[in-house]
Amino acid sequence: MKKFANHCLDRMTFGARPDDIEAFYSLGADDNSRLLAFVNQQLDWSSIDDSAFGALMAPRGYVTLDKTLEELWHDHHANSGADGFDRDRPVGEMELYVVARATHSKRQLLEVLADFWHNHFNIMARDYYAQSVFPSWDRDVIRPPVSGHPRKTGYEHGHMLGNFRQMLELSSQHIAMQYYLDNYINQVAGPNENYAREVMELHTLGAENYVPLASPGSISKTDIPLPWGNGGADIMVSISDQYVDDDVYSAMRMLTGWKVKDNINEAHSNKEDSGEFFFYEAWHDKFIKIILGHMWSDNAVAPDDIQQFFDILCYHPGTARHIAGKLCRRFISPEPPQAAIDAVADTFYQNRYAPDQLELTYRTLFQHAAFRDTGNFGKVFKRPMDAMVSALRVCESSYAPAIGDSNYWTIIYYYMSRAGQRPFAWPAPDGYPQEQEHWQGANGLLYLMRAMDWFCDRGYNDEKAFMPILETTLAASTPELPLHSPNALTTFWLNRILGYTPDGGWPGTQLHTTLRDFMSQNPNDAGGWPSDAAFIDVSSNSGPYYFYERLRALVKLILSSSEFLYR
Amino acid sequence: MITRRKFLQGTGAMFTVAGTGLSIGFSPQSFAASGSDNALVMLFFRGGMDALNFLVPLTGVNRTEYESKRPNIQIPNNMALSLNGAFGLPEKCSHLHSLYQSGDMAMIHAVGMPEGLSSRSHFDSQAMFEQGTPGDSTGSSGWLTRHMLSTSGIPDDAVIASMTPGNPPESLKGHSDVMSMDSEDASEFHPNGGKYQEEHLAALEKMYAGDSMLDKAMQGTVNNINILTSLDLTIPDIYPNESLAQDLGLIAQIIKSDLGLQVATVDFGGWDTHQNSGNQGIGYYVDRLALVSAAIGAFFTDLASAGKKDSVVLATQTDFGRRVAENGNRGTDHGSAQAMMVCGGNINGGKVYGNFPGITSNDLYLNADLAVTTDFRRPLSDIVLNHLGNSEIPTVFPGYTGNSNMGLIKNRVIPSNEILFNSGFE
Repeated sequence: MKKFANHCLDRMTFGARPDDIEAFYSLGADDNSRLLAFVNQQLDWSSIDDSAFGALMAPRGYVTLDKTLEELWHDHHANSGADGFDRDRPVGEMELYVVARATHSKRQLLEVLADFWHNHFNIMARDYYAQSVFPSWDRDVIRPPVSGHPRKTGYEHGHMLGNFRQMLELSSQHIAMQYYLDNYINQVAGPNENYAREVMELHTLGAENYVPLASPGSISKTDIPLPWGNGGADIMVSISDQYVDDDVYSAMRMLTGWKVKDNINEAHSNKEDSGEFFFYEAWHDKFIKIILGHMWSDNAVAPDDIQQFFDILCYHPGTARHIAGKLCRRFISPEPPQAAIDAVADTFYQNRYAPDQLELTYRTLFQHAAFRDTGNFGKVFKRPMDAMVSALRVCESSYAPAIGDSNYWTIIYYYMSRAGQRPFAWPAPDGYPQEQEHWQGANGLLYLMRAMDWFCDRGYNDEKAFMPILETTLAASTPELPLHSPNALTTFWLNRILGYTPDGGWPGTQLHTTLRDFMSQNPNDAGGWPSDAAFIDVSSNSGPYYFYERLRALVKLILSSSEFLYR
Repeated sequence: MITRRKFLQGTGAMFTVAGTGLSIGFSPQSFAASGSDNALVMLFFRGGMDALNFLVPLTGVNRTEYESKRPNIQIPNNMALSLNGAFGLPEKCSHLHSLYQSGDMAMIHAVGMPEGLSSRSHFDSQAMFEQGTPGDSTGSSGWLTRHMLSTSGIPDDAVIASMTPGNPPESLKGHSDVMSMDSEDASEFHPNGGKYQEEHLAALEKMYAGDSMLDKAMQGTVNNINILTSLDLTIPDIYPNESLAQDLGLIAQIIKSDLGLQVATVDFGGWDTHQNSGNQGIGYYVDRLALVSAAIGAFFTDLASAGKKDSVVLATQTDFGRRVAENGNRGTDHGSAQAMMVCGGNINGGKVYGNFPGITSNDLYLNADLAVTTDFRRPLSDIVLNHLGNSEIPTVFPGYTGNSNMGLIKNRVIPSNEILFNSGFE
């Protein structure tokens, strides 16, 4: 019974490979110490040797991912076409690379968290302006900084393992977000509400703290500490507990002039077209503003007023609860216990100024009893990309997309797209839904299963097999797979793919019986193939028995089972 | 194999045929039993199809302005096929011209969203058209979904559980039974492309025999696959070997199978003609129109041969029309009003509908675009109400007021609730 390892790894990785489970068990003497060691190891991501992944990807033709924001904007947007640089080459590379990284990187928790935050701060990456700079968005806003690409001074901790306040402001400044949510044209003479609404509704306070159609005066207020005293000391400021539409309208006015250096708008004096953030004071609304009950008087110092607005959003207890709730629904269950949300929110809030606020938040999450509770196993539905990548992982596919190879189009632009989750392609700013209800429609499930079919059949009879199903079967040890009978093959592959054995073993379960019967039937012989008789040759794909075909279908069916599709 | 009888007892299943994104939806048995087997095919031109080089001004000040604003990309008068004297089609649209002349095709000029509610964003605009909600692209259901759900006779236990992820268009958003297929070859949409297809589905049915949402969704998926597998769909040779024609060919075969198809959607892209759209009546844009013309021509020839021409309406939409003036790259940028085409034996065809707002500089919306004079919901309401027999326009197009009959439809289908009312019992 290895369910605890599987339970943890399914939540913190894109799918547990057989050796991941073994490695988890080598981390300590009991479940809790193993979990703690795994969390420590994964959060100290730069100490994990990922050179194998680097070596795997090096020859695969990626050329834009290391470019700076300025280079991306210059090469692929402002001067696209010159030197053969396409506008969408950067986003195209990102769409493949994220699948490769999720499949093969040893820094699995980093990938899972990056996926969470990409959806939290969702940008449809093929947005006309985002497409050229998307590698920068991923690297310079979402992920912790890597060598050669430091954060700017004052924002060193602005990333998904660092400080949320810094991360939020970096996200607001990035040209991808600026264009996606239209703040680049938000000006006093022609305001645009798009970003102001979403930064409150999605990025910080959340819809649960929004009171539609209410007047600001009807909202209760609480004194909360904000670092606006001398030397950044906390002072108590009276702030509304929730927000209303008037707050959104004022936030829109507050965010005027918060833009980027582009060449789109003629009005500003600085026409430098670099894609960098800049504050254009002439576009800023300087008149009195009241947001969440706090007032900025006429001619408040700008952009300090904007930074104070971000302070209120990020240091508001409602934001801590909103983000904690999302984390718990993703990592614990669709209906996590309130105690878990409160604990995670408390860590987020108490450490709101800390450089490692978010890392500490995850530690609380992953150490919480509700996270460890295997009673929640099987409650979180894998979204299509999660399910496809985890299929590649558990079956130990060696495939990693290369620019120009013949497979990635089918996987990413066909199957993932039609199943409903092409990477970075959710058009609305709320990100791919976490709710399982969204994903359980006939079309998505069909294309998910068709993807599993394609994975298992692709190149099955040559050395380029996508899934080494036959090799794994032939290489299995005798205790794991005593003989190639329907019964034994079914047990072996259930153990292999699902990563655990239920109490009492697989034989006798409804799933095992169904699959064994599938393996035993023979359309050409009413008697079928005996459940405990070894196949003559499991590698034979010819009639009348088509043994190899049955074996692949067994794997397809396990990958289509609810036991696999839930984590 | 599922039988037709078993299928007809099912719910309002919907499918998407997705080589380029084609969807079909069947009505339930009880609706089919009410007497209408009429169908609607929505053809969406992705990318923003130019209106003025499709429905071309031929005379008067409209022509002079057209020629002066489009010095390079204009369709010359001698390369246009006149419809009503004032407007014509490029000569490569000969099949469409024939349909017009036989009274089976009508055009509507300057269609779009009400002023102030439109968008020049591809995404926003497509979403608003397909959700049927001008000014709001964030809804959870498409207008075709709402039409299906509000059509009288949908059984109470219809499986309409969750939003549909994936590729089905926004117009079918919110219908959990929408499903995609790629071609008439059943193996192309089967979760087992190998030898054990039926056995694979049988195993899935055993694995998902429960009552959870996933169980129900998987049961629906298997059921849909069984239906599609049971159809004998071979696209006749009269269809050109090109994606739009093949998609329409597939829809026609499903219509001819008499399964009660009620709505279908097809996508045909390639209209975002910012550059090199053409030169003096030749080039990319008119060649693309020629594909449309041939595909629709084959579709109605095929339907007519099976006696189905009168029961099918095909209507077109696009993201937006394009700017009136050409840009510096022999193309056009994103604009506003579009030209809409409606075809079918039940169309009062051979006419150009709508009010052309003019294209002198004073006429233009935002100083650049062909202005909208016909709300897109008006012709669609006409089709929903009078061709498909669904009187629930307030549900299909929430908030739409001021609808009035355009007279697009020849023979009105009486909504089934009116039949019930008139007969007084049932």
